[in-house]
Amino acid sequence: QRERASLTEHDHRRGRADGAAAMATTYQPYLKCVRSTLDAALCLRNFPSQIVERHNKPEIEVRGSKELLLNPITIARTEQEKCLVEGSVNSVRVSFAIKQADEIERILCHKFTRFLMQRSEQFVIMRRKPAEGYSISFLITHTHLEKMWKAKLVDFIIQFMEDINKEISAMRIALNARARIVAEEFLKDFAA
Amino acid sequence: RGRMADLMRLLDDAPQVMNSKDAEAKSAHARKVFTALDRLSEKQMGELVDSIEQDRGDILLKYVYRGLEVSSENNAALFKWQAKLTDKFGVGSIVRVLTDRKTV
Repeated sequence: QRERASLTEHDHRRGRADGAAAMATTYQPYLKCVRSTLDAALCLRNFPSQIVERHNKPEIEVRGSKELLLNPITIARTEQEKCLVEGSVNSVRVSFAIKQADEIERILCHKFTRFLMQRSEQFVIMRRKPAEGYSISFLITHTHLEKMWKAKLVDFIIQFMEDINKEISAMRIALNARARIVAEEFLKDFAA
Repeated sequence: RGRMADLMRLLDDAPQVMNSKDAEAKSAHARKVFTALDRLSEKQMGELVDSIEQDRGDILLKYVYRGLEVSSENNAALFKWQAKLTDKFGVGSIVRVLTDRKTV
């Protein structure tokens, strides 16, 4: 009975079992679309600031000159799950909104992303604060691309998002399983 | 066949909408393009992408991305469109979507 329950929760993560099976199948195409969009947006070059001499700032954060910014692209898989790619001449900001189906997932997602973002220096490309309306953001500048391979960077981001989803799903299942065991033990005292 | 021709005609009309700054006209035209895209089956999708040339492919990709901004049931089909168009025209077409000032 426990396994059956945990299976449906896993289905729930990938797409509700009650019939939006289409959602479950669009996960890989969604990631593929994000991947090719990132491939295109991550064409960066060094571009010193036009406003302050001897300064080099990520233009997507400064947003000083309109001609340096590219059109932002939003890729929405569902209402809640979407990806925003904002590009500029020397930097790209990629923001993800993670699917949060219920209260528990909202709390888990919030705590998990907060944990990650506090350690964003370790992740190098992660942003300490997510963009408005999103769960997590990455800021990639030309210096990152000079040190790291673009293909591997894109692989990393896609893998990261997949893993976050899996982690949150696993945490939720573990939480519910633990709660069930605890409740069982507690209520045994009241059983005949 | 008629449906593919409809879509082609809408794509040909797109540049004048793109050059204007009228948001209403752009949304109206976008809605027509989405209904035309909906009515094509996957096989027709493949045929159309094979027959189309780069300029129209770019415009179509712009509409696909516009459609992906809002979540709807068609998004699964839109992902397929994006995949096919990118396979044919390469990453460069996405770069053109990102950089072109004349948005759709």
